[in-house]
Amino acid sequence: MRSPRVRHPGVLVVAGALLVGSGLVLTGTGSRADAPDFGTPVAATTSPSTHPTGPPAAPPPAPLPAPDPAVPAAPAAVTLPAVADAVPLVPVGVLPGGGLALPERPTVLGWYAAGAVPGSPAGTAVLAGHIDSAVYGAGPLEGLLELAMGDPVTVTDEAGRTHAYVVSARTSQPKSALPPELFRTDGPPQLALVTCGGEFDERTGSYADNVVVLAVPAPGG
Amino acid sequence: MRRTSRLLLLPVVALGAVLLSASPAAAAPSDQDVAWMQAAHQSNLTEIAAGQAAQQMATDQRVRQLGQMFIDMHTQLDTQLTQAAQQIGVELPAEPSASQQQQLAAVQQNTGPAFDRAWVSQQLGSHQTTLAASQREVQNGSDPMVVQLAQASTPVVQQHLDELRALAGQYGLPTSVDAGSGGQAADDGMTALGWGIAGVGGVILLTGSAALVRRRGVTAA
Repeated sequence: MRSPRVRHPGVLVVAGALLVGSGLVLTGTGSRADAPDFGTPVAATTSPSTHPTGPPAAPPPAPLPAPDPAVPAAPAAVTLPAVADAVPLVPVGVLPGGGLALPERPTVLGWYAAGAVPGSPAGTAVLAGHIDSAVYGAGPLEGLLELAMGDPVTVTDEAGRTHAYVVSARTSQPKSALPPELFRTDGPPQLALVTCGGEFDERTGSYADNVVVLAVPAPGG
Repeated sequence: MRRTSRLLLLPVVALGAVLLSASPAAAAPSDQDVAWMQAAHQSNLTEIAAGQAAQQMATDQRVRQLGQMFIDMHTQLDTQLTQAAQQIGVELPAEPSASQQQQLAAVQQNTGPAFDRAWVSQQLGSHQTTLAASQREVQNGSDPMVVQLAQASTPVVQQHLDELRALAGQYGLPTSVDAGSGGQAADDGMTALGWGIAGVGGVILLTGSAALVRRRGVTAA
């Protein structure tokens, strides 16, 4: 018994070679972690009358808030939708090169301690962390890619108090275009969750973009 | 009449309060008082240990100076606190909490300028938490002596926070957030599709080639 006859083996060879070639081209297009933008990005919320010069600048004399605003303790953990456990937070600062120092493991997030404190009446409290790591694998901030407007985000502080926020915007921008307004200690109170996204470069092991999720204090929270 | 007698009672009540707080047997600090004293003691121990770490490891003279200031002032605060605790029979823990020790140990894993910056961040967090705890005691504490201690510590801790913020401000705002190195979060659907197409192409290519070889064999025979 013979195997079935192939009438035009030459055609098969050419077609096979074409498919192999185009397939390999597709594998070379690189992988991406994309999240569509929604809401108003952080830079757009800057009011023109203030100078976003950062922490050293004293906050402008705001109209007096409610008497005895409770001082929040340092944040201890953040709860995100679709992430089973609260994600622990540690205070972080800026590295000598200007980069935000982040915990090595994606399972621990950093709070920019020289900025606003979650639960404080003004400024943007910044929480950031690795979306994934070549050493430790993926982390809970993958969930930022699937958040939607109005999703709850809750920060628990070291005193055990909770500060409830709801997601109001998500923006992706090239890493080189990180807006300095993100770190303002004045302006409306909000929470910013920052990680990486966009195209992943296998050779350098880094993403092209930053994904920034903004959340505002929950009504009545 | 009633009013007068009440007014007359005032100094007695005040004196009684003083006597009560000075006499160990009669004092009954509330749970809030005890919790604050224990937490404040642990915070003092943490800041003193952090100050000592700064003396040994800081490369930034400003960090050393802040560290020395924290050693001096938290030692002073803790002396008063310890005396008061003895007086009203509150037992104080012997060392900082596990998480405080852990955070300080993490800071000490850094060297050079990275240590300075990690130290400032950790101290910002711990002083923020201390300030929140003191405010809570001032608002909710019962024992006048303990409340007074909390009140007296507040401007000291606030000053430390201000100094830390000023120093962190001199380090500048973060200019980048490099937050992913693994690529696991990147959608590799295109990559998988590419390999799939290449695989199918490979099979067709092999079939075609085999048929060609076979045909040549038949022709030769």
